[in-house]
Amino acid sequence: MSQGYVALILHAHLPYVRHPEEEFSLAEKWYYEAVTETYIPLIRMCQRLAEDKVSYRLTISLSPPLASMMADAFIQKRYLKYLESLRELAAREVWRTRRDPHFHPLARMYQQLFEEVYRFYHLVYKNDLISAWRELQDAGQIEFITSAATHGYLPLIGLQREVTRAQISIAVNNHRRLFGRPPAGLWLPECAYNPGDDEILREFGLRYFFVDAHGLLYATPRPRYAIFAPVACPASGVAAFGRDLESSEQVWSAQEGYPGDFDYREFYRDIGYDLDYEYIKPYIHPSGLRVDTGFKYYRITGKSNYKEPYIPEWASAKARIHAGNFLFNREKQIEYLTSYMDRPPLIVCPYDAELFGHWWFEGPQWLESLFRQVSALPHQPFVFITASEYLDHFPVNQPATPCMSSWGNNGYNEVWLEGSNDWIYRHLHNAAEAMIALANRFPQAEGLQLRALNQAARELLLAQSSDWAFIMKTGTMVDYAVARTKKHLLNFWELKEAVEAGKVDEESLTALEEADNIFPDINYRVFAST
Amino acid sequence: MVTLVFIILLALLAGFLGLYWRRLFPRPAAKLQTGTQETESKPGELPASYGKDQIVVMVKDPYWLYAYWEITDKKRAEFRRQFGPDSWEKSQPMLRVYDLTHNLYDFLHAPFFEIAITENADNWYIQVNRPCHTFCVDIGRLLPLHGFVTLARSNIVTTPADQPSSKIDPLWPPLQACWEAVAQQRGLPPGISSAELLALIRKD
Repeated sequence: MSQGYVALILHAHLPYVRHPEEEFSLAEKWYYEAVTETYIPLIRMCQRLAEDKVSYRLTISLSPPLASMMADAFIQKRYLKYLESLRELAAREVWRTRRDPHFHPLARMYQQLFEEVYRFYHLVYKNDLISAWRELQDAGQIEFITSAATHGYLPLIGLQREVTRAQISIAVNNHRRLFGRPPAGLWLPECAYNPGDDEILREFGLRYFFVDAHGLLYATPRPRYAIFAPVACPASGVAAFGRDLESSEQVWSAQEGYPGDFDYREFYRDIGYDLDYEYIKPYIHPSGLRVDTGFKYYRITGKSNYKEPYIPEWASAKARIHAGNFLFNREKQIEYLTSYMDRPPLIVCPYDAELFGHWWFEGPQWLESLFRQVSALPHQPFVFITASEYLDHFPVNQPATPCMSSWGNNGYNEVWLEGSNDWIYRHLHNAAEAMIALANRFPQAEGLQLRALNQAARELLLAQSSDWAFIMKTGTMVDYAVARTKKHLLNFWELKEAVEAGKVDEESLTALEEADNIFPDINYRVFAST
Repeated sequence: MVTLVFIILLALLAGFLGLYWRRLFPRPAAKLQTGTQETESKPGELPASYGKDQIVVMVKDPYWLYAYWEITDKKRAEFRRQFGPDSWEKSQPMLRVYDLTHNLYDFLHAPFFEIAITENADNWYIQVNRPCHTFCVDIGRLLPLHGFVTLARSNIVTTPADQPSSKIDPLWPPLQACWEAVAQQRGLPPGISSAELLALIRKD
């Protein structure tokens, strides 16, 4: 048996952003950037590790809205268009910088990167990222799990139990549809746990979820191993794993963490803002609004606004050093814990996937280097493990109930419930109550009525995304978040009235089904009371 | 004859102006009254009310709750019928916060505190400062002669803990080394300092 275990978890999520009605959507751009900078680099990293027979383990949570976008034909084509424009800009950049010894190699680096992304995405996988994920799933080194259907913040939207059940049930079905097998565990959106939700997870065959450190540290009764082993929720037996503070801090913290190193790429300097307007115009927002293009030529350099050109070799060397440092720290941590614990300690390290590559450009290199360095050591200081494997090894865990918690600022619900966003809950709760009443009143809907009820369920779910409350709080693109919340709720009420009056207009229903087409096989009855 | 045509033209013009005036300043839409429902909404806006007497309470953190509510015209009328035509105006809107931690569902014996709220408020942040406590909130009005009259009662919520539990499972006694490792880590959890955590573990 190993000395200790490290479980790395990447949670990949974006809200459902699909806007055929707009020529250029800033929200869709979130998705395109994440595909280019995070998801494809991560998949390619895993493939390289597999080719080199490096043993590793990773748990990846793909939220249902994100997975649905990857599977959507319209988004797939639009991403290709975006990628083509990136490749065009790359070619122009290589030419523009031809006499610049600093920027020319960087322009070439981006060109090569985007050409590889294009080859991978379009030529190899025919625009279908899900098939790439599935290949990895079948290779067996990665465990794919899901999150709540539209990443609803369960402790706040779950006033009615039916809502939480619907969010979980739809997520599990969607995962099964796209990945061909049921998920073993579930990533609670924002790690937000509400005591009792574990019983709903059990109902859908989910074995585990993750909470922030204090979710476990403040569990009742007090956990024997603090955060170094999971607990089993008493009523359900579902396991709760707690986030390790130290390893989180090392990777997360912008100031003290690795990503803030001065040799790493500076995120906030982008040619979209820096270059001549006429030159960059075709690659920014059609209104002339300057946006990120993905071409970032500087390194963090220091704490001031003075920036120097990026040097990829320095950054890669730092990524290796930081991977080594992470390895060393985990080794020490495990060594210490092992001497006192009567079972091998487990260090749980969950991160937002988008941190790797998108925010922290060198993140995927760091991760790859970490796996390679550990596997190259003569004596394994610890073993990477998935949560399922851990539970297979240690099926008996201490019964304890984690405390209500999240990984948001200050650890509870305040990010999603404060002055900027508290107004949404009145509307979300009342709409949910109406949806539950509809599902109870029409248990056997057919034809148009069935379609309208299914669409009403989709609209409600889309309004429940935790992202809207989060955006309202953080203050950028607030109008968009408010508009999305209102739009989906208004669509919901319109459908509800049409169903109740028995006057569903097929034309407008079809338009809604095409616009908000998430969860093609949804069944509104999941909202019925049991 | 000319005068008559002039008068007719003037009347027509006045009519058009009147129409235009009404379009510029539409009168408030009549409230839609269907049974108990009184749903009011402008196109593109969410309903201002849902036609029910309700109060919902949510947990913000170990120390704060958030409540929102709605009281219907019907309830107001009922209140006036029961306590007198000017009873609404002469009473003070209040929130009564029951602490049900040790008396679940026993509202008669549960301790409570009250908050005087403003007439037009429809939501409130309530400071309870009680982690691991169970609360229920009534929205009501304080009448000089009758005392507190409940208009609606909320759901029941429990605030989360802000420190490790004092409850110990004898089969799983805490390992001091694990807890000390946590206390020495950077980025400690909310609600507690490294020294407090250490003091707490060493006490047991």
